[in-house]
Amino acid sequence: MTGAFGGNPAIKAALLTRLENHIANGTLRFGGTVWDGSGGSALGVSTEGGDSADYASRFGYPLPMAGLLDPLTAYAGSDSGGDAALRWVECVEVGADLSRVPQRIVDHFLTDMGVERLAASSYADVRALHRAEASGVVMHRSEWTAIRRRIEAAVETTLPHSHERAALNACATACWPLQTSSSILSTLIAAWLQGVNREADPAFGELKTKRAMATLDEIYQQTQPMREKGEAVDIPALFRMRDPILAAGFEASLERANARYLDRAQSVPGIVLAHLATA
Amino acid sequence: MTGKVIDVAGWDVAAVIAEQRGLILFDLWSPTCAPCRALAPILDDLAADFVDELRICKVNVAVDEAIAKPFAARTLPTLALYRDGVEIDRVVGLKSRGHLTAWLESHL
Repeated sequence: MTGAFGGNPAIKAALLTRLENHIANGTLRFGGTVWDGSGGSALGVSTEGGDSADYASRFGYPLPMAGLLDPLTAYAGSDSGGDAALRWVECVEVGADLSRVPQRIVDHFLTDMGVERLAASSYADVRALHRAEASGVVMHRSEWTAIRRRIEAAVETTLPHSHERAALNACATACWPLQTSSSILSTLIAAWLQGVNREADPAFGELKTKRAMATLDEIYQQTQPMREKGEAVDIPALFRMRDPILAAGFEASLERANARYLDRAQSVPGIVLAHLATA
Repeated sequence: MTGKVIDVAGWDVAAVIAEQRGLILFDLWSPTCAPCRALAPILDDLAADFVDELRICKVNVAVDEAIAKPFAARTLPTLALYRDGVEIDRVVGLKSRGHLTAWLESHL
């Protein structure tokens, strides 16, 4: 295939029409990849199947991009998922060379996670592998594995829940060949989204968070025998009974974290589509 | 080997196991299992990573209980690894691509 849509405007037009029809019929769904014969996810309806490699081959998108399509529309949500699916196609020019887009998206999210500062050496290793791959160097799986294991060993030297650990883990997540990886971008973006859990919540504070976690852990340990007997245990309710003020503060903090997660998730389509559009 | 995950729906899985030389990985999954859906793209990538070393087959246990029975999987997803017709190891639950790569490489 020569670039996006094989250089054929008719392929792009047919794909857009298909998506528009499914949106109009309410048969475009947002979530995991699915095709049930009459409707499904963006990748599902585009290929009338569920194979990322098939999508990549038919429409000239790199394999990691094909693997990202359904997660991206899911992040957009049911209100905007259809628009995201359409823009995914519309913003790409017929014949455009998209081969460098996955690398740019990897760099975008790794940089946003602070790898240049927190995991400079590992990031340099991963970039070197990706550049070698892009220049046509054929590398055996063991070469990627060796670097990834080195990064994973470095992870073990860091503090749990630290930004440094997250940055190194992100480098390990990105340490796969881009040309044969349908899951690399979706996995990396999922890790980026989890970053909200490391953001401080000044309204609740570190001390209260530690107290809340310790209380929850204590309740969990104490109710282990009940769970082993198959009895239903409502841990949040037990927490509220034991320390109502702390539990209320913790639940409010969780709600704020969920809202931050949602904000981040909904920003993913914009970020990715901007990279696609500039290819 | 194809470098793709093979759906063995409707196949005689016992015959596939008996006839297969080398390594074969069975992914026991169900469409209603969210971790199974999350694992699917990782298995696609593993099929490409281990293209000349391993065959990966997916078994939808919700469609055909008879197919699933020989595997006796109690939790989904379950990955059952066979060598020359004999199960040599299994992994239960959603695991990362890195974890599964290390696991498979330990059996090559």
